[in-house]
Amino acid sequence: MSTYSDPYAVKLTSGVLITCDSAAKQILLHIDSQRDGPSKFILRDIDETHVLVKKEHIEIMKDLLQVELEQNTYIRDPNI
Amino acid sequence: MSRSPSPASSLDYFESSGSASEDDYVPHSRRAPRKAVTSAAGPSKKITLKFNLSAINQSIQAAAEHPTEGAIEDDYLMGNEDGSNTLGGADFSNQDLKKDHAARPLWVDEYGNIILEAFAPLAQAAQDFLIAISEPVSRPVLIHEYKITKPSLHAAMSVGLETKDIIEVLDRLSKISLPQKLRVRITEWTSSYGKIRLVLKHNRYFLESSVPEFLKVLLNDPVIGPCRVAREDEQGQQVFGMERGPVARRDYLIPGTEEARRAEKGDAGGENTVARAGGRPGDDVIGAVIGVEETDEIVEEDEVHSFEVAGESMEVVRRRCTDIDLPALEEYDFRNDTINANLDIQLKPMTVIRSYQETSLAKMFGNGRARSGIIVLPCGAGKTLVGITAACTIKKSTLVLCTSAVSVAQWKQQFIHFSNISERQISTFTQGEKEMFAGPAGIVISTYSMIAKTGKRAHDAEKMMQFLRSREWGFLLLDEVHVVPAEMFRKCLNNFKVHAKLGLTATLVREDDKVKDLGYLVGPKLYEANWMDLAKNGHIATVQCAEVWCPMTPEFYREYLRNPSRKRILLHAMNPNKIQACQFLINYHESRGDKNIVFSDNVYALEAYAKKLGKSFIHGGTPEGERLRILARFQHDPNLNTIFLSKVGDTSIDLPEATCLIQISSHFGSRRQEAQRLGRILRAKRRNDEGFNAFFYSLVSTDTQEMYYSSKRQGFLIDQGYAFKVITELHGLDQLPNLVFPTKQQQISLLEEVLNTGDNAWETQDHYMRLNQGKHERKAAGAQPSLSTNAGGLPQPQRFMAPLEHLSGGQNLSYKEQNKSLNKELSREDRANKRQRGTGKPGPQHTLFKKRKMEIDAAKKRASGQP
Repeated sequence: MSTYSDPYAVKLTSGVLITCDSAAKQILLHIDSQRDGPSKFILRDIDETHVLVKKEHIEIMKDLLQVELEQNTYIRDPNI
Repeated sequence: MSRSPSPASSLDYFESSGSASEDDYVPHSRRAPRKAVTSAAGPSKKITLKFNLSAINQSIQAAAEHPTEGAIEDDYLMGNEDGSNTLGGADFSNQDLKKDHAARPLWVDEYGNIILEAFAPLAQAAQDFLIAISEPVSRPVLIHEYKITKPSLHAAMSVGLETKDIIEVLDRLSKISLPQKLRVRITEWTSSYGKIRLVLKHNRYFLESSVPEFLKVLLNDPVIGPCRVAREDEQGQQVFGMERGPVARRDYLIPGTEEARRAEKGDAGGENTVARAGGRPGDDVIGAVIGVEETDEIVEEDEVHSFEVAGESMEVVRRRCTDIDLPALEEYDFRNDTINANLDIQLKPMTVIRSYQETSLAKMFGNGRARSGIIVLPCGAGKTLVGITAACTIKKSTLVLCTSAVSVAQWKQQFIHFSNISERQISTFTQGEKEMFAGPAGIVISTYSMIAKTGKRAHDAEKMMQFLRSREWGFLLLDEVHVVPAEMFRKCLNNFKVHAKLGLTATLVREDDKVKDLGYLVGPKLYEANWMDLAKNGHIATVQCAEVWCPMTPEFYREYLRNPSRKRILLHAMNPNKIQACQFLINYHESRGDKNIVFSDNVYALEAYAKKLGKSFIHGGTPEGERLRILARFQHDPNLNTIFLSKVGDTSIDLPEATCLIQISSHFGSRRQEAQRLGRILRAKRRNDEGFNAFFYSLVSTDTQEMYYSSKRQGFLIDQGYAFKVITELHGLDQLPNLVFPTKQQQISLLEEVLNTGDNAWETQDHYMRLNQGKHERKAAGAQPSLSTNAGGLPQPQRFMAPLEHLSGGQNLSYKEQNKSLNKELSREDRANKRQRGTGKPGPQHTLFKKRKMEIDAAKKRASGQP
């Protein structure tokens, strides 16, 4: 790879467009802000309900989102 | 309702490469499954159960393979007490149905879980029986769940049921033959209970039993043995005292019941007699055991053996009895008590008690003696009258403990209202009043905190306490008994010599696990009313419950995620969407003519909402006068239909009737608070139009902790049969004129304001309450407890966090008031009225001043006329 980079060259990054409600997007942004460097997954914050993320992080991102959402779900203890 | 399918899979995404999934974007898809489940909270559970039952049914008839899913469901729903939660444990497909199972209403499993088909013809009778022997778990409209537990069986024994009858009746009502394991279990659990009685007779404590073996065990016990008081000189050669059992069973009456029912009910306690007498033809046993039918005339004369134990070691004995699995039952033979003076108290002839109140009292006075225990009735269903009737039955000196000075006044007033007692015989012991009653016996009404107070007291308070401690009380009435297990209040019970104790509450739940202690501190649960039945019969209001989902605005949610959990409370309380929803609901219900109460635990949010929406509010810091004025206005003024209340409204304020309640922030997952708040509108019976006549809204910010707590809080009410409707969108909200925070700009400035508030605004606690040590009056400026220096002898200094401007007094300065508080306007109006009265009408003016005024006027006229 040469040190010269052409400013006019087309850069390609493949990503996944996520469509979700605004709260879920905020959670994603929040999770992303706690990660750094290459582990960040958000490529572009498009609008209230859309966000573009790296494809390879999809699964882990879904898991993290799930964890966050689970916190607000009450599971009734059947023994009480 | 909590078994929501996992929402994760609903995250729809498109791959940018073009091989997109065909799923279209659904705005709320992530919630959709949860919504569906939650929205039918009560009913859905019911439906599931029905399904399972029919599944079992089918599987049995077809003798097919067991439906695995159904089995798992069952296991989940029933939860085994002993934790043997194996999947195989819930497979009932091998059970044989009885031939005439359709006529029998119960499903019983080996762990003591019972499912009642409440629509079955026999359900009513079965229900009465189940209430006696088991704990209600959940009671929606059609299917009820009960559970047999050790304490519940003990309670059943305490009402006089016998093991044999419990098993027999259960078997009779069950669709399948009773599992052998359960039979064994019931026998085991009941074998020891109720055999030992602890009786306070002639001011001496006796342990008595009809089975001498148990007494031998006790006497040989290293702890209890030495506590025995020898009485050979009285009883001659007897090892144990031998006495006649409670013979006169028929002559007790609960006052206030119809004459016709008296005779019949007099036998309710005789049920054990009849049952023991046996020999009755089959089906009548059900009736006899649950006290529905007229019972036989047989009065069994039991021989009761007893020995005396020393009064001072009672505490030890009671504890030890429980430890060695021979719990002592406490009963008070009040009719034969000649030592303590009788109190001449009777219900007024006009007072009629309702059937369920009668039933609950019948449980208490089952065999002509007073049993200690707890009666659970919903708010507004006449707990007070039950207490008063019990006092009228016992007719001895009575001590009533309640939670606040307001309820002390209410109890006193109710005593005078319902019974023939004169005001002189009732004394109240509160911070303000410390008088004693006249005559040898009387009623003392006080608060838990007055009794439990430690440390130095005023002279007269100390004298009163000594008086209370020194004498013997026939009856101790504990209002809101769920507070008793708190460490601080426990000694209320141990301080006094009391014969019978009755606890009253609407919500026998605590978030800690101390509810169990009540069985030891007070007694078993004697009766628990079915809320739905009471509502159906019009004793309490029918309430429509709803949970309104307010999505967080993106800005608020961003801050919510970033802030520590302590600060989150304010953010989800101040969610602009929530304020809008609140405004919409208030507008809607005001136009319907409802009286609305809005509850908020967070004082900052309370004030912000009230000011923004132009309503008046009351919190711990509202001065007494202002508070009374606002409440009076709320009650009588047709123009003031909404008030905002903080936590003080939960208990300490005597609230006028309201028909609509909106909850914007609450104390975490407290089920008790939810039920108690609901109780505020249960009294709204006067609007008896068809359909729902009261409304209960809980505003919840979605995707926040509130969702979690909200589901948890609803648990208690759902078990009582209430269904929470979930409202995801309020129609017409965007067309509302004067909608608050319509633009993003305004919402962001609100957010800024919220983030910049002082520290104490973040708390859910009504911090004024803490500052003033529970006295909800603002003290004079100089006497702010936070700033006063404590000289020796004064109370301990208090530490609290506050922003600097608060400490320097800067917080009380208002530089600019955009949203004026309606409270101030009200007081201004009031002052203006007063002034007008002063000048406009000469009526109340003293003649002296009138004359003086005339003279001054004349002088002025002369002065102005002369030049």
